Amino acid sequence: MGSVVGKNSLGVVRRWPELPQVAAVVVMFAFFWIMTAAKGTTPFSGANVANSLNYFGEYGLFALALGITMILGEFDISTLGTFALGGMIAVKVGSTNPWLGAVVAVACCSAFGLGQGYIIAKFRMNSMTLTVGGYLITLGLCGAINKNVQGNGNANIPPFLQKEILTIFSPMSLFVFAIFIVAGVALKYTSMGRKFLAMGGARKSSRAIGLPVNRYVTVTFGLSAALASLSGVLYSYTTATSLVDPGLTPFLFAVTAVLIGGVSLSGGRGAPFGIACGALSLSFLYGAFQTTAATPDISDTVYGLLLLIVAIWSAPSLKEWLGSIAAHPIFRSDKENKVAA
Amino acid sequence: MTVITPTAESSTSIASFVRKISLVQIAAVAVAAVLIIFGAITNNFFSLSTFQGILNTSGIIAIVAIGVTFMTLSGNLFTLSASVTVLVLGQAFLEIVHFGPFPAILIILLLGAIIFGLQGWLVGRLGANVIIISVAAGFLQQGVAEYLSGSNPSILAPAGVTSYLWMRNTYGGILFSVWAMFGVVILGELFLRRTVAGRQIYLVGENRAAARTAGINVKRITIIAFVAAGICIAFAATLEAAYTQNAYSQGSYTFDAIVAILIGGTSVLGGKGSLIRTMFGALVVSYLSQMMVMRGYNTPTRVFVEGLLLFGVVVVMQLNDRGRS
Amino acid sequence: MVTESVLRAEGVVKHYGPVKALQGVSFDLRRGEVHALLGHNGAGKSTLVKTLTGSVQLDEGQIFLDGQAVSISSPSEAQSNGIAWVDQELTLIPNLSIEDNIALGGMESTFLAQRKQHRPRVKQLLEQIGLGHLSPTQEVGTLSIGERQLLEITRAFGRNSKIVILDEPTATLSDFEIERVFAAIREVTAEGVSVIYVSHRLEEIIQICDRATIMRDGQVVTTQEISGLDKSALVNLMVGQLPEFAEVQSIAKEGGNGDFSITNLSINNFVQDVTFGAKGGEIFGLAGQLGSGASLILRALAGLEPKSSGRVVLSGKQFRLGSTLRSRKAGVYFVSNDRKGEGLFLTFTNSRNLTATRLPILAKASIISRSVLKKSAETLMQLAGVDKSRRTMTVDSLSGGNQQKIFIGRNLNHPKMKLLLLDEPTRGVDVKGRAEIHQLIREASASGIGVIFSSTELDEIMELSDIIGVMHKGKLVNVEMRGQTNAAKVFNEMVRESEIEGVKA
Repeated sequence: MGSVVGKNSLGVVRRWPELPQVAAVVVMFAFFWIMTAAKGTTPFSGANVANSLNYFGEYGLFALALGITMILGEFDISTLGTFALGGMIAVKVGSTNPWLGAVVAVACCSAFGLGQGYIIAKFRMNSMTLTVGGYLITLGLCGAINKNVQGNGNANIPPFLQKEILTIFSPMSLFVFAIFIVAGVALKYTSMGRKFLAMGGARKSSRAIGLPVNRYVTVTFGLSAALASLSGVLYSYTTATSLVDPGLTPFLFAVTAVLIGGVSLSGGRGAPFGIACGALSLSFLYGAFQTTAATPDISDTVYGLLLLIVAIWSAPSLKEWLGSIAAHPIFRSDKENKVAA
Repeated sequence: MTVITPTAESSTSIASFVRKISLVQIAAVAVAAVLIIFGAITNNFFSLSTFQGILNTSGIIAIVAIGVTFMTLSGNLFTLSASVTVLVLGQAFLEIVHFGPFPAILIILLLGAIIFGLQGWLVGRLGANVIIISVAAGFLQQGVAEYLSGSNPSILAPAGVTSYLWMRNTYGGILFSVWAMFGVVILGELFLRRTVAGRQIYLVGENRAAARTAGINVKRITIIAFVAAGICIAFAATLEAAYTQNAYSQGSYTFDAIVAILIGGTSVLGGKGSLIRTMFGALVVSYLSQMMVMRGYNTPTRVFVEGLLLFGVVVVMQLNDRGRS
Repeated sequence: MVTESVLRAEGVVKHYGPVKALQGVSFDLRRGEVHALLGHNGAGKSTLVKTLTGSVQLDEGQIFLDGQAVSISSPSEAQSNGIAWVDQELTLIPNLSIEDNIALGGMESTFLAQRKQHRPRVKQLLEQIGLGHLSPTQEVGTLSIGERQLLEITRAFGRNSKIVILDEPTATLSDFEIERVFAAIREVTAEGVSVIYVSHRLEEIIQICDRATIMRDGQVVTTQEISGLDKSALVNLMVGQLPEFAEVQSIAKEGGNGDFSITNLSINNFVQDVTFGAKGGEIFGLAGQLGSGASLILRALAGLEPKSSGRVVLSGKQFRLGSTLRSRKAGVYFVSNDRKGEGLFLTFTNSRNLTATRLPILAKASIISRSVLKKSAETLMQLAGVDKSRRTMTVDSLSGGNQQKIFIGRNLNHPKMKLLLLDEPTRGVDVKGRAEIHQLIREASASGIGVIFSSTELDEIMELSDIIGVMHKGKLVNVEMRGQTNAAKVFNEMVRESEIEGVKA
């Protein structure tokens, strides 16, 4: 279970493929620590860390949703819609019983995801194209429910989800950790997980050795919708709001977390552990910016640079490019060129 | 030894015409029919003012979408930061428009070309992923813009400068941005069809490996496609800023452009499609929303229907492609 | 030897469109034997294998397993019937470990991956094929091509199948690795597994196989015990009546602009120190089996192999390898063996395909006029010998032969071309198309450019080349004028037989 960063063109990091992800968490936590300490507050006072982990709780499952489709070599843009739709349904249906709201939200979104996944698998569609349609459909549904259904978020939910456990955790963040662990174990230790990775890494070979690719694709899109909607439910319950249009922010968090997490866009690489690391490190970054009240120009520039580094580091032709610079006649003094000249 | 049998070739023209009708054409006719029928049963829909409205709301979106189409055609999907670039360059335009509209436009176009050219270099030369690069570029542009504008996030049109206001006027009931859209489509199509680089964009998009083997400079073509995209998006930014007279909120151009491209039927994998298709995609979306507004539907329903239409279009395109091979 | 038949095919017929790939083939396989399937490319071996593995459906005929008539409609059905195979195209998953790949190939599927329980079995399989030094947890993507091939073979053996089909299993292997494959084959056949062994390498066949079925033109020539045959007899059976190759007068121009010389060309640590050259107007044929390095040489010259070194001089000018753009600038044009992957723009029209490589020379100040394009495309269609009325049809609607003509045609009459490289120019093309394509190549050569082509087909090498270079395992083993050699000799060099006596040329 390597990663983009572990298997990139520079060929660094073989022993412990998840090292870069763990390092990212450590670095971000250190950054968070320094920023908070510089601000004069106690970094480990609990409230600060717990605050950061709340970001993880709200967006972590979104990242996992996107991540599993990417490990399978697909890309689910509609997760942005199911995130909003899940939160909306939960808030509307769950005004009297929040648990019911959550269940209905996840069930509806999974059904949608399965349908979308079925079309993608059946017609061998490009998932990035179709899920733009899925995004619009779910976003439309979300707005329609908002307009036509009465109901407000249950005020009892947020304190419960954010109740302090062991100073820094909350039921929400622990729940999200638990799901990551389940997903990680499933991917690493079951034969289904093995088949899943095979299909993500080599779709054609997987079909050739008779793996049920279509079934896995369908189910994965169902799962990604379920996870994204669950993320939306948690977001809505903790913030006691329902979003008609979440904008791109959660999506960008998820994409960034997944890529820092070592998932390759071409599929077959990455694991929930890495995605969790990516989401955690971003959460600390968010936390650092929040506690220091950083201006958006600084935070945006930092996110941008971070992504740029990830993109360049994982670029397949980076090594070739560096090599071609080194091989450029300017840097060479051997005879061959003199002959040519 | 051909797949097309001699009988097929020598058959009557009607029969061969029927055989040539593709699923896409049937679907296109069906969609057009539905749109026209619903338009006809909508009160006052077929009126000059409605159509002016449809055109006027689609000009800037279409130009952004046309820009992104260059990337799509070259096999580089799309950008996820078109909205940011429109906003940031719009701000910049209002800041410098007192130099006079034409120098200002030229500078903005140049900036757009540079911003996208750099992204094109990263994608074309290093093989970096276009989605990540475009998101990163979006954050960076936003960061830089926020830094430059300081504590003042909203930038208003400079007071007393009127030299560029012709960019927001209507001519014959049609906004300047719509005429500009037609201009961009014509120039863009000429570039794609009549120049070496333009035709090579299609070749690279259709089969990158083949283009490379055929000795086409794939990296250069990728950068050219990005630069073309940057110029179009920058132009849209000047139009947007001139029209709204302020620049402080991002529009939804990123997704609107993708929707227009996909509904127009340009293949997201590259090589197939055109700028005209994208323009029609934008016009269909605008027609649809105008019609639904007049029939009393709210925004969410419009978005939902747009999504269904997009689902239909991409599935039909895919079935058509599979049917051919 | 037990003579019980585990698999029998009777009267198998398979058409691909108008082409008859199999014309009533009958074949039987006994328990515990190694059965060679021999024949030229296009003789029908692959098609026969595909019908047995369920990847193509036979049009007529019947297949029996253990005497029972069966229909094998899919690869997974073949597997559940106890047939395993190793394709020329590997089906390993690069991002998974060795043990996971072996587990995926098996039909057993438990909920938990049970890697620990399977590890002893995996180790045993690795030992058996000589990969004992590898850890079962190592990722397959980190293995060499040869190691992957061995892994693929041992995975097939590990499936507890009754029948294992090996298609060119040794093409990418070293002598030592081949020995390991043979040892593994002997082990499994001793346990009663039957092996179908498809190969060109006669020495190996004599060494490992019990019987051989020789195919030619979609028919079985004969099935014989190997012990009654020697190499020369096999060669004669395979080659059949050697056709008389008409002397085609080559038009060598002294100092034509296609003179080239290649010195000490090395690629990927596989092709080593290859040196050859020819004059413009001469056709240089690189003969060699799959994996011999012949096709690698062409790819390197086209700039597609980054790890290549050597001195290449074309028309008096040296150029550096490793970039398609540099090669193209030097005047090198390449026709890949992968027509669909890196050749044609399949959903584009013939016209667009034909002009794809010459847009800059058709343009005036970067602007292209439609009439110039049309005229150029029409001229090229005529040259390529494809009907002009098909100009606006898409390439994927043409037959394989016509597609290939378009592919080659786009390089014809090219003012900047000095060296034309063709990798397997007639792969998947029928006899008529093949003759026409050969004519195209001769005409191109006659204009004074240099031509190098590679082929695994003896006939093609003998028909088309003026000079024949034979590649074997990364080395250029011999270069001779066509007039000074003969088919049997070239064939022997390709398969590396030392001396075969009594073979008629």
